[in-house]
Amino acid sequence: MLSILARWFFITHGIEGADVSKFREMGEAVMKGVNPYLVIEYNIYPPLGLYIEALNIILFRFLHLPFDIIHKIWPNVFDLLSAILIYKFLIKLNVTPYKSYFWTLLFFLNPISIIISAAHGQVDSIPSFFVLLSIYLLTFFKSQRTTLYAALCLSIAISIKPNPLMLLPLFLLFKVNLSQITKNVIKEKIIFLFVVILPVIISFIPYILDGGPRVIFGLFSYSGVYDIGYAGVMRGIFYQDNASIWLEQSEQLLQIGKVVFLVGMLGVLYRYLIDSDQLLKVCLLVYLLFFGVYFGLSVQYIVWILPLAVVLQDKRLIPFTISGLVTLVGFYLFFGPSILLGTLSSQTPYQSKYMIIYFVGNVILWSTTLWWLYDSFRKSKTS
Amino acid sequence: MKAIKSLLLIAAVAVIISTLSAKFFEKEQTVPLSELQRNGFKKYDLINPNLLIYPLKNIKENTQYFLIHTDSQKVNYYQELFDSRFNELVYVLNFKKTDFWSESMNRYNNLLGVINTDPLYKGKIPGSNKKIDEHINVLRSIQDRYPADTPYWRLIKQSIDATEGLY
Repeated sequence: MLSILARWFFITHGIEGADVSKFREMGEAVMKGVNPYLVIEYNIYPPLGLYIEALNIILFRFLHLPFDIIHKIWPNVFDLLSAILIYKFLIKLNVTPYKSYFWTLLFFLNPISIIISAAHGQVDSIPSFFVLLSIYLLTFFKSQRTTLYAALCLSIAISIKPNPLMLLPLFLLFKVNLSQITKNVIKEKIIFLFVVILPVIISFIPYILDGGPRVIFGLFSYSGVYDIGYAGVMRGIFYQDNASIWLEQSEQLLQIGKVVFLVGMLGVLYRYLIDSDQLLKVCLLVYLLFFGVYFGLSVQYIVWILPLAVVLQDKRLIPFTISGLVTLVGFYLFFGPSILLGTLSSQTPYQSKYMIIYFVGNVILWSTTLWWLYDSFRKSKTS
Repeated sequence: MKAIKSLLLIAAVAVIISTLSAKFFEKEQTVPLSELQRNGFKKYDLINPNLLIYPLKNIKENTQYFLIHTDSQKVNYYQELFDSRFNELVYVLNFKKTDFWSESMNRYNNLLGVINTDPLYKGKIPGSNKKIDEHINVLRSIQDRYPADTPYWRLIKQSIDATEGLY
């Protein structure tokens, strides 16, 4: 109830700005029948994500409620659904109801989740729900039908936001025993891959036929905005030069980050092959690797960790939440106070006094992430 | 608890390192320090507006003001504040930290406004016309490095005009 009240408070005191106005542009482009991948510069959302925004436009016109309120309801509803799913997941893992309830609350009351979904209005909690649902189905149900449902869930997740694509290799290798690869296993995995990828590709076809290589290039050239992580640390240090918030070396660092992440993924996959039923743990490991080494981390990515860490009952989520909260507060106060404070304050952005909060937050967040990553990897080697 | 202590320690070390690293961002001074000192400038403050830890200096100043009670203590406090704001302004101007100029000038000019309008401080800070002359000469020596009537020249003129208001 407390979480619902907090979320409702942020939603009703928010403003339509920053990312929410971009989402509205996407929805309006779809309603006008134009190709959103050609008319909107900042658009890396797959078609299903765009159709959700189109639905929001319809609801906005029909219900006469502010667009930002309608838009923000969805990620918060999916946070609630994730909380219910987390509880069921924990109960099925034979965790006591009391502990399951505690960990569920740790997710639903998590300030990072509340700020990203209700204040910022980003939709990362929606694909996160479908990723968790997919893992749930694969973990507890063995039939071919539920495996296909799991694939479909992952496909829906990727169709809304592409980040779960980095987990696809883990899903494909789930419970694969290298010493016993049969034709049946290969066939199952190929079908799984098709069910995940085909709907995504089909949804893109009309836009690619209309826009050609520009659409594909636009999607694959997006490298992220460097909001948090070690990028935030560097931004804080270089800010002292002449209040510069854009780093000259960002392009090179983005490319280096991609290479380091891919190399790290190979290491993770190698470990995973030895113990390939630890899907949940390794998904968390991949996300931690991404946060630890990649340069282009947008602030909303931080919520990806939450449902996975909660189901694993990983206490390291607590320092992560504290450091994440400090980072979020510093980030919003400096770059976009209206995103966090909404109608409650008219603070202007880029005030130097908030840069120290942003810097310290990123230092402790990145340190926590690296420690968590190292500790998880080390424990997975010894288990 | 151990984890939180470690994180705080890491944060403190990072802040110290970032403060020390700011030295590497100091470009060549527009006016050599020796010339500024001939015009009456003493020295730069240790903590200047470009540093991440600058808000901590403000917190310290506000705490100090909260603890003072007598009028003479308030005058001394504002005297120190006046010197500090002036030194900070000279730092950001002379090291061409142009994106910090506006913030520093606002702080300096606002402080002059308080000094000039409050009867408690008017005429007592900076205490002598000689000091006002020195401040103006220091600012003019930096201003003269820019062509007349250019934007940067005009910005510095605002602070010179505000200082002249103290006569």
